[in-house]
Amino acid sequence: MPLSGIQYNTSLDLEFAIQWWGIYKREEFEALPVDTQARLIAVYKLNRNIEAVLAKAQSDEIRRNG
Amino acid sequence: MTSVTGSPRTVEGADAEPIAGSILTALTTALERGMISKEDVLKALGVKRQSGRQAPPLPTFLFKSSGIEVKIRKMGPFTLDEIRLSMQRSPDNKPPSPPRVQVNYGTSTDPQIEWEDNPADPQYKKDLVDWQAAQTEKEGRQFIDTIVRHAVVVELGEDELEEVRHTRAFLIGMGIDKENIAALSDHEVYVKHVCVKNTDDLQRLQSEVIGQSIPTEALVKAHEDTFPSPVQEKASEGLAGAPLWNPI
Repeated sequence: MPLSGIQYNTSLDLEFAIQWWGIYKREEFEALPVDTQARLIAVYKLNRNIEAVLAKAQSDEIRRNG
Repeated sequence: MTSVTGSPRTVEGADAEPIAGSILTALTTALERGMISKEDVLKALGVKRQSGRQAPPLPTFLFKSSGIEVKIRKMGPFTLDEIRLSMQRSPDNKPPSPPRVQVNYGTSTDPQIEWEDNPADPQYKKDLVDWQAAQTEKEGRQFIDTIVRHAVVVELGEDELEEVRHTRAFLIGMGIDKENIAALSDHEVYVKHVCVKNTDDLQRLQSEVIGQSIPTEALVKAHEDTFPSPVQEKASEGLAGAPLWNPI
């Protein structure tokens, strides 16, 4: 995650990604081809990064506007 | 429409129906009386019986870099273990031996000299590290070779063979040892040099073949890299309403 330096390992990312997508049970997710799993995790991770960047930008803007 | 084919003639339509009915009745009777077996009937009709459970079709794999689709055979942990062990058992895989040194267990006046291995020898330690590194690289190469030879299933037609001929000529033209290229089968040239065009494809292939259930960090990273927008640089634009990333 940008700014904080927090990093997760792949298996934790997998757990988070399953929850985030919300359309898979764990066994359904694991039944997907590994490549598809990796892509879904990548999308989740990018979304997480985007949210972090946006939150930081919003907080800066609030601070600037007093 | 019913038709009965046989020597000396073929009968079709309404004429054939009573004949077909008679044949069926005769066959049923013969079967019931044990005069013929089901196998005889199937053999006469040219039907091959499937023995045992039918094998599932091989899964397909797409090399994204070249757009070529192949079939793959998965390799289980026992197969992988056997391959790893056979590599380790190979006679030319012996680690370097430590130098032998004389050790005096007695005194200077009453020496008791024995020869012992000296694993602390600096040159030996360096040789061992080099051997381990070379071993890891060798195992990696042999593993990829095994995947290419055994796990990738592709039929080489005339177009594919033409591509192989062209690739062989290209590699030799690039100065690669002719004997090395000649040692590769057409299948190996096609998979290694025509199908695989980047390392991501190779990682994906390995993951699929060894049936990994959890994607590796490298594979996730490879997918992350396919999204081109540098997120942090565009944060301010994002607040202004510009899209930050390319949705799948």
